[in-house]
Amino acid sequence: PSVTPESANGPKDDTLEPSGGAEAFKILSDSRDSGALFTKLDETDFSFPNEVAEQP
Amino acid sequence: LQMEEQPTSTSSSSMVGDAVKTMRYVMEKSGMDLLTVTQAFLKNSGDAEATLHFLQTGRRRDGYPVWSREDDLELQNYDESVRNKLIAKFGTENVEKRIAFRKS
Repeated sequence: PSVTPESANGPKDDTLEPSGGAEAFKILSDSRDSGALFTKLDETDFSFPNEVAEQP
Repeated sequence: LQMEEQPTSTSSSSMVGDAVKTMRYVMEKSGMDLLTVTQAFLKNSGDAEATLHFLQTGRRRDGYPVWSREDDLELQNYDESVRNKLIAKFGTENVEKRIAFRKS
C-alpha cells in the first residue's frame, strides 16, 4: 500500500526511515534545536494535539 | 520492505527530499501540524499510509496499536517471553517492521 501524492513528483517510497525523517523534520521545522525536538518526539508516546502540553 | 538494503549511516538527498514531500503530504491531508505528523510517523514505523489513516481516524487500519516508548524499550529485550508479548500485541509483521525501522 502506498500514499499517492497529488503531485507527479511525489515520494518514491511510502516509508520514512528515522534518519530520513529526522533530516526532513529539520528542514521543515523552524526550531533552532530541531534535532533535540525530534529525539523528544521519538522518546515520548504519541498524543493528539489537544492532549499535548505546549512547549514553554 | 527491504530495510536491510538501505544505507544506515547517511541519508541521501533524494531520500530526504522524498521524506519532506511525504511529510508535507500527510500534513496537508490530515490537517495536523509538523510535530504531530512527525511523531505519528515515528510511532507507525514510518509507514505513510498507516500514519495518515491513524491521524484521520485515531486508529490503525490493521487494528493494532501504535508503538509506545515502553514497547520500543521492550523490543530491545531479546527474551523470548518479552518478544512473544510484543508479537501478541502488534503481530509478527509489525514487530519485524519495527525492528527494521529502529535499525534504519
